Amino acid sequence: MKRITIKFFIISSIIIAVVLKIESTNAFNPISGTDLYTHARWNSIYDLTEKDTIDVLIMGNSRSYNGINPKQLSCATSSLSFIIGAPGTTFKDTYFSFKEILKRTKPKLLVIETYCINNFSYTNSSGTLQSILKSFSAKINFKSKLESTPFLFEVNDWPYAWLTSIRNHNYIFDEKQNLQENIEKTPQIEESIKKGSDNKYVGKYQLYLGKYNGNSGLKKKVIERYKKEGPLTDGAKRFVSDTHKEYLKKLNTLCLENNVELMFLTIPVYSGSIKNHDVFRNYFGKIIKPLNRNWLDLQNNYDFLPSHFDNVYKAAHHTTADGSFACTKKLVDFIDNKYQDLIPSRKSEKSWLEKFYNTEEYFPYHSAINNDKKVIKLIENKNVDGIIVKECAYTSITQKYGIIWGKTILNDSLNINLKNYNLGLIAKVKMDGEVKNIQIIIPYSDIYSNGKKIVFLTRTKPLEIQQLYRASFIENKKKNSEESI
Amino acid sequence: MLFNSFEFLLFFITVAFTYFILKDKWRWALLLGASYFFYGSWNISYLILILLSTVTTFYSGILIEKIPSQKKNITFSSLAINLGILFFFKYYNFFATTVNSLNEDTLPFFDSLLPVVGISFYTFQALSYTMDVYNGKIKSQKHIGKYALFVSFFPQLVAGPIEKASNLLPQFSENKIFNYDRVRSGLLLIVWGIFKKVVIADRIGIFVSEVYNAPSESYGVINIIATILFSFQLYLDFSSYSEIAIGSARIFGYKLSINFIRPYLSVSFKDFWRRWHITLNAWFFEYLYLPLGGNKKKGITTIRNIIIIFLVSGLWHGASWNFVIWGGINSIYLVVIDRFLQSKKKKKKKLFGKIFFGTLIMLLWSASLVFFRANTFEDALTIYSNMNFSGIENLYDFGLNELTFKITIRLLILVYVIELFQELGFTENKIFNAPIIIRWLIYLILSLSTLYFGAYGLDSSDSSFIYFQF
Repeated sequence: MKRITIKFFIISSIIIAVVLKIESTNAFNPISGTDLYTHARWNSIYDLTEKDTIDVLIMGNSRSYNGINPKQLSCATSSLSFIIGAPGTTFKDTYFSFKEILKRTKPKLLVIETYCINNFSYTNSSGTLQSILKSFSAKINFKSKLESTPFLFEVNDWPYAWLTSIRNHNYIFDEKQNLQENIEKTPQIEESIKKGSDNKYVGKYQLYLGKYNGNSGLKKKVIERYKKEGPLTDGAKRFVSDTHKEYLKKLNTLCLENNVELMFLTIPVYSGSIKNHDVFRNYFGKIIKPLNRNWLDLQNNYDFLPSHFDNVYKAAHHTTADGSFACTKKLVDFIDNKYQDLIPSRKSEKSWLEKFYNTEEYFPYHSAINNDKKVIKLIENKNVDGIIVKECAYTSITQKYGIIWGKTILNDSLNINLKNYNLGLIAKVKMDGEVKNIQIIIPYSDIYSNGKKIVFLTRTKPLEIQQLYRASFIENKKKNSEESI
Repeated sequence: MLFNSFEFLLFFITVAFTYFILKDKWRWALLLGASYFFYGSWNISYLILILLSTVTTFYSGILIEKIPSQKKNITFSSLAINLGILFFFKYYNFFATTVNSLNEDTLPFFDSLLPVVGISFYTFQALSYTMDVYNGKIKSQKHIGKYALFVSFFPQLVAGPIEKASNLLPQFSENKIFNYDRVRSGLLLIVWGIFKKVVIADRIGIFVSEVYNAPSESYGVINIIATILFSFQLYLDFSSYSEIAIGSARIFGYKLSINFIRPYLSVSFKDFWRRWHITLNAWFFEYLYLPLGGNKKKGITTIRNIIIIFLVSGLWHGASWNFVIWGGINSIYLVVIDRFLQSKKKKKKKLFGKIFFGTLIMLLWSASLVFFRANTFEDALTIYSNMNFSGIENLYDFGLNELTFKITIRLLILVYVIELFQELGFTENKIFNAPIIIRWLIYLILSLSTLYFGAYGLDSSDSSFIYFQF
């Protein structure tokens, strides 16, 4: 018996060695965009947490990273936010992902997007296993992965979870070209998600802080289809599995043990695509009630516009970039209201400023650093048409564009609604190599204005503003035809 | 738990190592526990049925010997109970559908009645014990644990070989010493079986499924190719299961019956049925054909008996008229075609004769398999009616691209050539006598090929063995 055991062991070792060698070539790496984005997000968070801590961590499936703009959130709260999610992943996977992240950083606030808290398991939902595999393969902590394997996967799927070449071995017959591309591209892709010379991530997959969005809002044709064919999601048929209920409790306990505040967030879908959300709201509310955590349900108190949602007739559609701004604004307000003293302000920290200063999202919330010559101050605490403009300035963001913004404080004594106005400037500028006098219209910004301040903001071509002749508030006669539906 | 699964690999390694560490007197208990665990992994409620079958046939054996005057009644009761269970779980809905089609809503239909994996196999195995005790061929088993192991022995539980009690039961009382050659031989058989199943049979299955699951979308020579390929898929799938079963049992020291002997090298249908699913045919021969009179009375009685056996065999395979028709066609082959083939005796003994007649048998057998594989009677007719020799240009549109199709055909040819050599006397001992580098190369090639060229994965359709559905 000893002889055959030794031979069996030797042959098994040779087989394992061959398999590991094939694994090391990365030839069978998944080739879809979502796999790469998931890997890039995890690489990003690993890199970030080498030197920094994350204050607000948002987790969930694709709704989380489509629904929230982490740069906007970071700037608004003066904190470091990150979104880690994988498309279609389950709450169980989210729990283990959080466990891994806790080994590297302890966020002050954990925000869980609720669409991943469902009754999907990969025995009843095709594609869920693929989603969990994407998330699993992106992680690097061997011990965490080993611990989570028996909970995330059935025994027969363990080889698929750990060995990409076994999982995708059919590439040999069905995807030969992609095999070749994988071998050629993998170094390029790995390169593209490393830091560039400005210490930020460069390359095709710019997943700095883990964000990704589409841009086209709902068009009339699709809205008509929703009206004609009806909603695709029925809140009365959305359930949470017993497994996910169990993991909710585990996550809550984990947060308590690690002094992490936990809240739930529901990113909305287009109102015409869902019915009976109130039924789900009651149902889910009862489930999380014992946990004593806050829930920001953006499907409730709905005031979103068609431009906030992807132009598709689909149950699980996402928000557009505009939609994510709108959702983020509400999340910021919620955090300000409920967690006032929880998130530390890091706006004077060097590492924070290195990440966010001179981004488009920074200036609406914060002032320029003194002596920053890149920021051209046009107006400072000046009366314009009877309104005190605290600040109006221009800065270039990249070589391709700059922003001009103006801020004023909300004043009850104002007898005009600045929402219906633009801030207009007449200035002498050098643009495209030519010096000329132009009028610059700075629209009211829904995204950055709130109950305390009003912000006007616009992007421009790169400018050199030589002289400001005049500033005024101009009524916006072009009425916004979009209504909150 | 499928044989071709990671779960089974872990299970088998654990059981095998524990088996050889344990003292001999407890090994039956380990194997029994492992067998129930194996069977329960499909559905825990299956255990109730197998236990019922085990207990009824065990005690019927004892009672037959204790109360000889009642042995007929006892045997009848055992048959009634076990066949009743088999009928209810496998045939009731089919029976109800048939009756209701003649007279609406006569019988209730049970939607929730799920097929029970392996019930046909272990029921026949248990009943063969009862009948052998009744006929005085064996003594009744007094050890219920070892008897339970006979009924549920995991290597052959769900798809055979169907063992006679006289072969398998006594082995559970023998002292099993570890034997290097036996274990090595068993391992090679398992690896070979898994290779045939995962790399060849399952890949053929992709093509066959594409054609047979949408019969109105395929036509011409594609239907012919799919049908012939199905005959190979069926053979490779089933024979590989048997080889894995035999190899697994061999590792533990148990000898199971051979179930296939190169059926596509048969020289007549009589020869074919001595080579195909041997243990099932032996069961029908002994417990149905012979009691009906066998071929004692020549002529129409023998023909009648043959037809009955094949119709019942067809029904055994599945609760569908398609299987009955399949059985009927094969009975005609045996009765009619073989008369012609009988006259070619001398030619059949030569290698060319074996290839020629084997191919002829295989083609005729394939033609009958349309009913075996088609999902419905109408589908079978559609497949037949769309058969012609056109449409070869669509060959690579049915799930297999050119590369995979060609590789699959080449592997099929390889298996066929290996079987030809086996027919000429080449045995696995030739491998074991080869230099170590050759032997290990064969083991590594088979294993790595299975891992990297196998037709399995997250996107693959069901890769369970075909005979599990019976």
